[in-house]
Amino acid sequence: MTRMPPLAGTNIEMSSSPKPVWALDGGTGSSQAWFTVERALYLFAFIAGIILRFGALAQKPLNSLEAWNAWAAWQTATDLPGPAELTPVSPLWHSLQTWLFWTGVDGDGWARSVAAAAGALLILAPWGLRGLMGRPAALALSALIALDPWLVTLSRLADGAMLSAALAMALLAGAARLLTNRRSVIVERMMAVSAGLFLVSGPTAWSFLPLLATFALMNRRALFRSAAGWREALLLFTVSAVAGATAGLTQLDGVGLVSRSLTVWLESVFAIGAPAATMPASGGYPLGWPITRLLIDQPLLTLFGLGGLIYLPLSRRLSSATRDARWPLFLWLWFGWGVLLCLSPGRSPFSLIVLVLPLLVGAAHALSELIALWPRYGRSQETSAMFLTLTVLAVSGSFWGIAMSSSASFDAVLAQAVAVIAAVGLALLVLYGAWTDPRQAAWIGAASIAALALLGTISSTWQINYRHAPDRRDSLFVEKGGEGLRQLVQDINTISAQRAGDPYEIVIFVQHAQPTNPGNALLGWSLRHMRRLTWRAPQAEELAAAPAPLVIQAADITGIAAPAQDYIGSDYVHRVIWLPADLVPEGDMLEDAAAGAAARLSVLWTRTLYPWLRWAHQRRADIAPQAERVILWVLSDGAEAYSVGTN
Amino acid sequence: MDVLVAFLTWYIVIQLASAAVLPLAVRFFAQLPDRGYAFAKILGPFLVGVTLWLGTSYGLLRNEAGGAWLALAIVAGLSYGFGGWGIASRWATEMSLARRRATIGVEALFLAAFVVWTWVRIHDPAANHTEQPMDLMFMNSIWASPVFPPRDAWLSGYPISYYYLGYWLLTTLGHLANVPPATAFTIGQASWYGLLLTGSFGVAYNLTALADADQTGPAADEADESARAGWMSGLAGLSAAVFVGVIGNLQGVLEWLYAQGARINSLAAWLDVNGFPENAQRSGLWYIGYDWWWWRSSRVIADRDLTGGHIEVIDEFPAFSYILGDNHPHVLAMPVALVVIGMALSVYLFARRSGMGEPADWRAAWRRMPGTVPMGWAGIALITVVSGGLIFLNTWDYPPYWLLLIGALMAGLVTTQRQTVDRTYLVRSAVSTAAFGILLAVGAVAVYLPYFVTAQSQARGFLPNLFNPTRLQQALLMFGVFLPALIGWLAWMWRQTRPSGRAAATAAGVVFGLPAVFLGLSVALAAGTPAGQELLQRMALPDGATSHLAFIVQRWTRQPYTFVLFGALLSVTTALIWVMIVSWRRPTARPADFFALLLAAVGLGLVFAPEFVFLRDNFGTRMNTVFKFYYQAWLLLALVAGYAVAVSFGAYRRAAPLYVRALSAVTLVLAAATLIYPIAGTYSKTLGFSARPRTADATHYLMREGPSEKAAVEWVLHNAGPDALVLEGKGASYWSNYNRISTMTGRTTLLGWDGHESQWRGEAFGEMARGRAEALQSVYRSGSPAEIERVLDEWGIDYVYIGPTERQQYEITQRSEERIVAAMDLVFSDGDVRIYRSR
Repeated sequence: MTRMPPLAGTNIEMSSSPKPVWALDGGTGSSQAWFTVERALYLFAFIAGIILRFGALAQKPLNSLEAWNAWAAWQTATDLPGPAELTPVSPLWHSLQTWLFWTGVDGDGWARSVAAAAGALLILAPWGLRGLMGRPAALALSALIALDPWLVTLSRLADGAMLSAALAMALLAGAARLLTNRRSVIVERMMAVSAGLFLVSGPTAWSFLPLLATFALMNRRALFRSAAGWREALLLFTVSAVAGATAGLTQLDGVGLVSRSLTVWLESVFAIGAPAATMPASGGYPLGWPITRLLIDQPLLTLFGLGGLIYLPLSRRLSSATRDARWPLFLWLWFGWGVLLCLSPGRSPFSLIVLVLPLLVGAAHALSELIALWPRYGRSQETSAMFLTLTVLAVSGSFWGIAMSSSASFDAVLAQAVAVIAAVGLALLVLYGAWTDPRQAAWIGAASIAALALLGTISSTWQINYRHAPDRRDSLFVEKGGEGLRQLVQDINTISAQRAGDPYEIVIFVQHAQPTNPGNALLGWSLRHMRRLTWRAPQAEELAAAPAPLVIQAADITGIAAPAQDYIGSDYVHRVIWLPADLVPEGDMLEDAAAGAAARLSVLWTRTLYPWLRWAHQRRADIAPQAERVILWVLSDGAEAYSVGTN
Repeated sequence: MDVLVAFLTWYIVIQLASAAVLPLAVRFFAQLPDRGYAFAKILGPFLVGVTLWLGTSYGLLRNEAGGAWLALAIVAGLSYGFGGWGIASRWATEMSLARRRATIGVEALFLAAFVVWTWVRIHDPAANHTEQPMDLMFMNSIWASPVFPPRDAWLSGYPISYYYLGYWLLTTLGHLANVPPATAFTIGQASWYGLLLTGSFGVAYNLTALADADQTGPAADEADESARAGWMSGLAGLSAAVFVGVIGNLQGVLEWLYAQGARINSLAAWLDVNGFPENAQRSGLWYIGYDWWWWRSSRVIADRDLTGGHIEVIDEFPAFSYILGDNHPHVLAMPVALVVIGMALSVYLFARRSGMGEPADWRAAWRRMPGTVPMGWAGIALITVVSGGLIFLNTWDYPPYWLLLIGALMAGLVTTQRQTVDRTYLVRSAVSTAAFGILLAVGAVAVYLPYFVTAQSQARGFLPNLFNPTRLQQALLMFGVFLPALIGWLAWMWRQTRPSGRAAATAAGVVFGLPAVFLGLSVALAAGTPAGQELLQRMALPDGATSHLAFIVQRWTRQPYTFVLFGALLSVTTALIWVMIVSWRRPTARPADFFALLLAAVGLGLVFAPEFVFLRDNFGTRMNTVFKFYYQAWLLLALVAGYAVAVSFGAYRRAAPLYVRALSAVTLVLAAATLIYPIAGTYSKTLGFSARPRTADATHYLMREGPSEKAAVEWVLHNAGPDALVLEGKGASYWSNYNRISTMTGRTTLLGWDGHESQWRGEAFGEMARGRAEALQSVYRSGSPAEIERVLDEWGIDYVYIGPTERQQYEITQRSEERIVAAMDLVFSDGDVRIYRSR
């Protein structure tokens, strides 16, 4: 029988070597094998994470933030002019994306690929935290990172946020490894390089900097006990930062963008400044938005994340490393910082990334403890029977619940059924506890809830990232790209092929009010292949003399006005703006205060509870979101086409 | 509420910047009793601003909030790196009673001055008179320029050609505090007032505390030092702060007396201050009146041409500048000048303590030079950056303070008590000092090279002052407050030091002889060369006169007294310095006195110099030279007077002779009398603190004067990119109703205040401005739509602004506006204000 490795080890290198399942020498166990069960599980989590991050990456259109980043890189890589110079906010992201486009790849999926890769690498970061968290907790963390809906979303976002998070976690893991293991020159070098890249990775890095500084400060004696290699580290740091910011010294103004990223961070956190000419404005998320998303998207973290953070400092069962009060203290500071960012005026999904990681660590600790108790509480047949019973009740209850929440009219019978099922489940647990062992019953209850919550989290991951349809409110961000733009591009390509003989050759004018309007980035990215695109409104005399075949009226142009006669217009949704707060229309919830309780309950259900429940598990809503449109004006056939070149 | 938020954030930012440089300051100013705490408050914002500027210049940072915070982090890192992590904590924990009091005094003084002046400014925030629009334009231009070089909003396509570092420092603090230029204009000025008083306090406090320590010997222990922490040092600091930044000159007293009905017409006629008492009123009001009576205090010096006509000469002083409310370079530079004075003092004390050792030859002397400066090469770099910054802040300030620095080093080396000072040592010290001076100058050029590359200058050499020696009565009006204390103290020094007749004669010979030779040669060249005669011809002769020479002789024989008085004082000071150097071991010689003599020498020299020479510029007169030299002279003489008063009344354990104390008392009485100036002047300028609403927004007045224009400004701020070119009518200098968009948004326009642009750029302006006025005519007045489009395209114009001024200036009618409508898109309309955008 293979001896299980210890639950938690303070010093991985010095603990007794785990007996490998597969030994490189054929299984004799005479030499230490590299590929252990633990590594296999990490690999499994990594592969799952890759699939979740890379799968159907181009399914959704880019939003304006992504388009801003991608178009800026595209302009740099191809030297393509635009209505205004877009200043990138993440030097490293800009460098990597520019390099990518230089190689010739193209498309929404490729624009997101770097973030997806970073998000996948984040899954491996807990490997370095094993000495600090314990091996089961670290493994659990890795799995949770792989599945987390927010991290998957941000990994599928063409932005440098996930780069920053991955590099921050790499630094934390490296520092933790230095604390708990012998000093390693390779680790120190990798940390120096990571630190340099981290500094230039974009605005989100500034959210993580105080945390890394706090960790370093709390462990300064151990981390900095030898400064022998600081010169080499400084050199590596500088070289990697400069190389990362300047795309290998090809864009020297990239160094100045580091301060740009700090400016954007300050503006986004404090909702200050006038970013009219910078990038899509942040902000606009109400104060209740973070808690709403946490409750709806992250049931596991809501219960076990917070629970784990509370449990951690109280537990005596943890490894000696985690009995060190500094790790729980650090996690609480991290969590507090995340809460502060979520309370700040400029809260956004990028604030959530700071909040979610300590909660994941807490949940990982909690779950690993739960799993560790399985030998004691979970091996009996009674436990299996209880699980089976609770599963049946859960499945049954979910059917009734889905049915109830799918109806705009309140059905008391369905509600009663759900309530009864929940009560029966609870009663069973209580009785079981009274009959056998209350602690065992509590463990069964916790494990069941954890399983349900995990399913709910996986559902959120699926709903937010993969169930894409125009009528779904599935974006973590206030804004998402409209499908209309893809249709617009397709129509333009078709018309161009018909009239000019080439899908990218037709003359197009784009009429816009603000050169740096976020919507223009969407247009620019979508129409990047059109060779005769001009970013200005055609003048009346020009059109009178030689009408342009296509004129696009951007969303920031108010009013609808055909550029001249003989034009036919079609509108396309290119941005959809929606927040969960839009689920409930403004106005009195109760029209008639004198109505009876049943009527008021019915109104409450129809106006508030139903929309929320429906959105929570289906991500659908009846109220149409705010949509921005562009209008494509097409010169009708028969009129003379415009034939001069682009601007 | 907005004012309170802006004030608090600004205050916190200054405190953060000061804390960032504290280790560096403590280490550099280790010789000073307060360890440089007063100077750290100025040094912090300065270094952060310069770091941001350097970073922006070389593309390493952007001129934004993020860049400013990174600059602060870099400064903190360097400060704690060079100063040492432990030094700040040791400074805090090992603080003597004296230093604790000094620290609290500095903080209290800064806060009080900042609060008071903020209160004043929010009652008079409008940047709508004199050259305030220019200041605001510079700040907005810098704010709207995230990359180097900052654009000149009044001359599109060109960078600012002016010493703009002061504006840069204000906008840097604005970035840190998230305060936009319109508010930074007022809040920043108020904070600068606090820094001015703090720096003045620092210089006088340290000098007086050094004097006290010298008199009573080294402290036996900490308690002993604390016991010796005389209140006189603090009062000296406070006196100096008041002398520098609060009091006015004696003209303010005369204004008040006249307004109360005093019969001083004869006196006024003799003083011959332009416009007094002709334009004054016997109002009977304690604040004299709401007219600009206080303006005349800055014009007490009046030159006359050969026909008797008035030639404007400016003699500002800090209280005037702050009442007027301009954020001009000479105002913004003054706190930094105080830091340089503190650096000079520190250099002097360190060199005196360390000496040069015994270098074998001049090469060794060169290598030993860093060892004579606090912090060695790092200290030299710091001095280079700070003193060199004066070139960038207000170029006029650099030469005197450069001289002060090298003089301080030389004086410290030759008065060291570490070794024997002989001729060989003197020569080696001179070599070392020369190397130091060259390093400072060359280093300053190297550090601020990006500025020099983009700047032009109107300076074209020096000219002799042949016709307008200052009338003594006017010089006394200007500096008379300080002279009694100064004279008394110098007399006391003379009596103690007893320079020989030979030393005195030599000093007088040099002081009077060099200018005499210069003037004599100038007269000869003027009379004997075509170029000289051409220059003379610019001074028109009255009818019937044929020779300029007669007027030269007449003016100099009738009005030599300022030249004589200040020359004599300078001679005395120089002789005392020389004697103290050669006879250092006399018990009467004290380092504090010596350094005060250095300050006095430079200050007196700055008053003395314009008597016979001035810089040739666009104005063609000595107006600017007197202006800039007298401003620094006020600072230096005020500091010395503050010190002199303190030592007269007991900084030393034995009191000064009665006559010295009496003269110091006269200074105190005169200073007290001139306090009417800032009090009444502030009350007058703010119209009795009646302004409502109280706001720190320097552009808020436009809500009342031109709400449509204000709306247009807001539209441009939110809709036009920072590099947009917004066409406005051609500007007119000093008129605030011109070029409001470019002034208040930093967006460039084709041609703003062309008079000022010409001053800044000198001969190069003609070429730069070619075609712009014609382009404006074409767009606003006469061009066809096709011509308008051509002009828009040629000059890269994004928007055309039509406001009340443009309508009047170019006689724009509805019909004529239709040409613009045909060529552009209307994007803003409010009242009669329009903004059109290029298609």
